[in-house]
Amino acid sequence: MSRIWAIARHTLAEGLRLKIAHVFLAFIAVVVVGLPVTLKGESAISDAVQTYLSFSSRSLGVILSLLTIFLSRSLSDEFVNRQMLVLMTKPIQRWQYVVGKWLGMVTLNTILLFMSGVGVYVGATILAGMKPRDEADAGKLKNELLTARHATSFVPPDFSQLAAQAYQERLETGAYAEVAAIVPSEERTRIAKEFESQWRTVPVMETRLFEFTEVRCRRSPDKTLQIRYKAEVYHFAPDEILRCEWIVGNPDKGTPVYYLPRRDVIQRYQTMSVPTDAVAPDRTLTVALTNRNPFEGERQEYNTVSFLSNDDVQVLFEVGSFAGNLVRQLALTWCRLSFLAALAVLLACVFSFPVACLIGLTFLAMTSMAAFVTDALIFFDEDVGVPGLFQSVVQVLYKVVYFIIPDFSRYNGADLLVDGRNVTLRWVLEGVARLVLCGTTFLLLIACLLFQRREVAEVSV
Amino acid sequence: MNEQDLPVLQTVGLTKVFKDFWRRDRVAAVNDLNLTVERGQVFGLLGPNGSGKSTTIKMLLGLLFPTRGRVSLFGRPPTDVATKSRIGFLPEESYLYRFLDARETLDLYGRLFRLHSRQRAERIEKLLEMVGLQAEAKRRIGEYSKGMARRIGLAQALINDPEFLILDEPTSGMDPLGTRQIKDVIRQLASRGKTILLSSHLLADVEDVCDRVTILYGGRQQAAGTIRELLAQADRTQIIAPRLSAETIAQVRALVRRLEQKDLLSVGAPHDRLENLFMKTVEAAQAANVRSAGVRAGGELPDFLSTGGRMPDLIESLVARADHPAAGGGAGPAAPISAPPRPRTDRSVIEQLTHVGGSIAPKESTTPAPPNEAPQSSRTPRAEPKPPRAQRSDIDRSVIDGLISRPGESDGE
Repeated sequence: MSRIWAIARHTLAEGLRLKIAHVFLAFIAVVVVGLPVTLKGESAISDAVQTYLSFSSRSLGVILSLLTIFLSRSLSDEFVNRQMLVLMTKPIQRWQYVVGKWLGMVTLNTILLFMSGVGVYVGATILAGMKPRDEADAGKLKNELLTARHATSFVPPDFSQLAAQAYQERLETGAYAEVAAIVPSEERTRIAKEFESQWRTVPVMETRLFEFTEVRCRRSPDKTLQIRYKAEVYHFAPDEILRCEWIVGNPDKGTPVYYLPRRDVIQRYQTMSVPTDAVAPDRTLTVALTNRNPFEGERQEYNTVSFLSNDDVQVLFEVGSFAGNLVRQLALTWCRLSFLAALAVLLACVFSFPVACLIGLTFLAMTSMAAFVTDALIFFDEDVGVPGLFQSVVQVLYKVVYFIIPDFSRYNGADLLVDGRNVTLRWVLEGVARLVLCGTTFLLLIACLLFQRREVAEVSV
Repeated sequence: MNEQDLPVLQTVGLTKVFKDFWRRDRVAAVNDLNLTVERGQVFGLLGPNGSGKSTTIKMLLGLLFPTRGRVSLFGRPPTDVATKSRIGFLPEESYLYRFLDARETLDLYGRLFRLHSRQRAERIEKLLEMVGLQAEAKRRIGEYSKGMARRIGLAQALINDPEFLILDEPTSGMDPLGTRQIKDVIRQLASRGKTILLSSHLLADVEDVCDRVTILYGGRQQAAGTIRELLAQADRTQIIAPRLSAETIAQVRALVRRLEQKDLLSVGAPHDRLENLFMKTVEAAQAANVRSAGVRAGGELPDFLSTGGRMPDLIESLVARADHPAAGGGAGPAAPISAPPRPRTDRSVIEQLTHVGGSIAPKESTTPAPPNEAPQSSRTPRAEPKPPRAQRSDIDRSVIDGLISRPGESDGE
């Protein structure tokens, strides 16, 4: 271990002295330290804090990822400048060297992440300590930003039985008489989807009931939870305002009921706070929405409200602190950086500096786009029909590549941190298992095998 | 077989063929090379540029993989970690980290040898003192001159007190002062029983320090043997004397013609070596405390550099017996311990030359030896330490040794 650590220490020292590292460090300093100064002029403190968290956490991930890729130079330069000739005559196994290099990069990243994390925390705390614009600003800061909230989405009822009944009725009434061939199971599924989409729409003056389970917060009239929703309204009113009434609580379960008349801008997320004593002792929360449209003079059918996604109505409740959430978000970033460091070491074992770097950057771009590409492939599969040979090859290639390449966006908690939502420990552990234990180990293993077979003083003629 | 009996280095049929991009054989850099380096030897690998010296060394160190043949160091493969911990290597250029300073550089390599922190710190200071860079230890290597970097290169090669030292062009880029210091270090290390493999195309360097040499050309071994075996000119005799008058020289010519029926080939004043002149000048300047921004005079060899793979007692015993011949038990000259007896010298020509007219030979050489000490010319040979720098003779002793040796016979060293 002492030899591995000797290489790691050396890599760390080199990383801290590389000029390109200084440039990246300057970027980090500007983001972490400089940004709070420039954001002081924002009208609402909560907006300033949100902007700061958004910029700092996202750019930290990007800057440190780029730095890690560029650190591959540390290894490839040792081949080019032939320091390897001396190093490999010392009593060190080649795998120890590879692991030492990776450890050095990871240690550098850990130090920078720790320092940046402290900086972000201090910056956010200083900004949050400034005088809020009003009570709503203060409330948003406390309950929606500098916190860690768990989000629960609604689950539509199960319409399969109703669909089966409806199918049977239609069958008996001869509704399918003119249909040539029908597959019962497919038809039942189609009917169930039809019922669900009807359920997801709330016509004017109708009420829809959403039941949330596992709302594990402390019940108290002094503490609040948030209900967040985004309503789609087709043929909306000229002022683009949705008029509705939310009723939260369930008297049958002995909770107080809160009436919340709202006038909100449509198609944007809206948040309202409700005391946590609206949650029933069985940890369920009942929420009802009454559509109070239309606008005067409008036809009623044009003001139907729709919730297309389950996430369009969510309940958010506090489960932890902002500091803990920040630590977990940084831990996820660390997992990504650890994987990238292993990739950088692997590439540098095979390629020289510019090539290794370019491949690393390409990989970084691909991992960041993984979610988008996967969605595109699903869309391609479903909607394009029978693909040609070229398209098939591209599809297969993409699927293979994205089977190997992890989806980095899946292990990025920046969006949640900015939203005051909980970055779960389970998620972090999943990141550790997938990116560090599996991904990093796999890459380092390949790097060791390749390096073991490489002639350090290779001559090409 | 006991490890002590194994050669330090052995190659059998060592071959390296470099390939092109398409993996086709292109250049046979080393071809069927068989080398054996025994313990305590200073072995010279000679050859012009491109003869395969560096390729051979890189294979010895596991930096290149042989195409055919095998290498063993201390009876084990060169990639073995335990083997590597017994080796010191100075490459042809000092491939060091430019962003580290001298102490950090030595510290890095010391850590790889798992030296304890206190031991590491002590060795670093001693090595810096030895290579004369203590005052420059905080400067980055990137700011060093090539010669200074070579010195740090040498220091890193010695940080682990290696049993076997491989030096690839050790004096490359060094000024004459540094070259001399490096050679002194090699001699001192050799006197402590270290095994040294020295690769160079600077023939004078090799001649000065090596016991055995192998000359490579085209990747093949062209000649091999001890320096004396290879350099002996059996058909000539050289006599070096203080300045003689023309009359005396004429008498010598006549004497040689009369006794040997031969003419002298050349007679003239010998030239000092430029290296000696340079050293004298620099040493005089250093004695006068003339300021310089470069390296200081190198210090003594650090005491941690032990006696290599040999048994220390044996070395001491050898030295003691050589220094005190009488202690061997007899009144006569000390007998050689392991070397075969030196061939009997035909002294008649020398004695006649030095006694003709009673004034030709210098006074010192005619001083009779102490009763229990053999005359200098017939002293028992031993692994002779070079004289200290200040007393170093201008005379190339190998010529005299050559004179008193029979051609074609080994001197047993």
